[in-house]
Amino acid sequence: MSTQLLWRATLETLYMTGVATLLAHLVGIPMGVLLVVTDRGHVLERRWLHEVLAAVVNIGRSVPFIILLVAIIPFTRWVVGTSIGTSAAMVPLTVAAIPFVARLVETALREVDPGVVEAALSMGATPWQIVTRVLLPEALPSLALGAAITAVSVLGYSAMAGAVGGGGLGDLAVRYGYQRFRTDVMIQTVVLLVILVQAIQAAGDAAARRLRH
Amino acid sequence: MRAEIVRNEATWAAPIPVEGRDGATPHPEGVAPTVRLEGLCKTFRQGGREVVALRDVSLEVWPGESFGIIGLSGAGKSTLVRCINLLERPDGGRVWVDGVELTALGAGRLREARRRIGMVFQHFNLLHSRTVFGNVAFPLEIAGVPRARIRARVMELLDLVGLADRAHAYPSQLSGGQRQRVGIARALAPEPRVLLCDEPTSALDAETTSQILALLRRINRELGITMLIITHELTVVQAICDRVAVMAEGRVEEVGDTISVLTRPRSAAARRLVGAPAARALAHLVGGADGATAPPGRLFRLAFLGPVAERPVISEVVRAFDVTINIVHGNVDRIGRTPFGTLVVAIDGEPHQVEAAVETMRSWGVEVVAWE
Repeated sequence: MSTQLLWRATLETLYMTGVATLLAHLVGIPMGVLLVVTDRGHVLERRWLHEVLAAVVNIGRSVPFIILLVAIIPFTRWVVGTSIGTSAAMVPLTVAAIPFVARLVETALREVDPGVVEAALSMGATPWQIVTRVLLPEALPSLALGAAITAVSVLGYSAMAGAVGGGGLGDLAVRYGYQRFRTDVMIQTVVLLVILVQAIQAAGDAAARRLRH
Repeated sequence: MRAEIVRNEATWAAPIPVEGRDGATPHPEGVAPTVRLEGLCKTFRQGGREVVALRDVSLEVWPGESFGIIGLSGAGKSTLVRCINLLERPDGGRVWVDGVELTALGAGRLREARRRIGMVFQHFNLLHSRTVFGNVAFPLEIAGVPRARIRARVMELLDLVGLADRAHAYPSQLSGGQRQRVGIARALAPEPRVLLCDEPTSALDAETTSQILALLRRINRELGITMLIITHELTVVQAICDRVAVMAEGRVEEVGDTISVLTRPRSAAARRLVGAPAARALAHLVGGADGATAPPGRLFRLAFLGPVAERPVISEVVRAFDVTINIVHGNVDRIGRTPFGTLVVAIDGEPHQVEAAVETMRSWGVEVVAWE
């Protein structure tokens, strides 16, 4: 019974974390790129757009996750058709991770040597080519590390998904380990979470190492 | 002095060059300059403070020549070279490259024009995520050249710069000199008409510097590519520039044949640059811990070009006039293929004797300039 519960909760956690991290990158990477290239002196300087994006990202990052979870219930219902369950938990997880990813991507791209961008410009590269052939490839090792950080954060947030019946290891720890005084379940879930975090970080480190020449 | 010259005698066979052609001298009819700059101005605003980088700079660089721009840091030379391919927009003035006015082009046309202007950087600016091959292929890829042609062209260029065996290495696995070779190959890939080199050897050691300079010289000579080289080092100009512009405080102070500018500098800025090694030696001598003082007499800078260097000038003068001559600093060098020597000396004696000695040396073809 306990093993089955744990197994199911682990899968739910992996599912929520994986999908939310992936979706957050689909939106967060373009946002991070825009934050960089629209800034002063960059290839697509648009100060107003930069300021608007920066404000949106900051607002998104300042809302506590548990409040976001509840606040966007109508949006969640519109997207996945329900506001309860694992799939429903993925929507706020993704929304919360998007500004986080955007900032990490921005930081990674800003680390790219401006001289390299200048060299590409001097060869007649278009802004699109600068982004796709210079900024993103050059920042890839940092982006891989950033993705690991994001996944670990999403994993942490997913513990709160229980509030909307999302399931997962965090939820299990609260419901069984805490509320029903099942210390064994509590310890097992924590050990599993530690292993997951270690695995994600190790994968990120390995990817960054392979990508850094 | 004499011993120094004799040692280099074999290389002194080159004839004395003719009077220096001034930078403003028009080129033969019908030849258009590869680079023409007209009245470039640029001011940077940094936190309310204005820094003027370029003040009304005009220059012409002719097809096939190797043109140097020398100046101390902050003289505006880097801004100038970045204004040529408009990485920096000048506040005023116009830029032509290969007959096209770049300052009049829209973004798309400017990008196309930039593909005909190669640029080599002080810090190489290679893509770390790409191999040597990938870096050289980069400008061709973004220009949409077909894969097969990219391959052939890249291998041809890697052969030229001597890195064919490192095609699959990453920049982090290369030495500084090798990285700059990749940078040069990359700049040459789209077959540019002109190569802009921004301090191409300033991050390299002396030996690597001379190898890179030799490579640039060969590219200029054999491929006929016009070259514009920014540097703060006199040795770079001496080694590979046909003509040179001296910049100071955003202005071009002097333009001329490298030989004339180095042996007969007319502007204060050029004199400062040319005299810098001797000035350092002098400062060292006078300021030394052993309490040494400047040698007695007036200081002069003597420049010897060609046959006159084979004459024992100093001994002849000392024998002919009642003066003593103290050598403060000496140097034997080459400008391109023409060797030349410089001496900084203190001549002591009665004023009219010193004057006569100077006049006599001038009559023998030695350039004599009073040292400030």
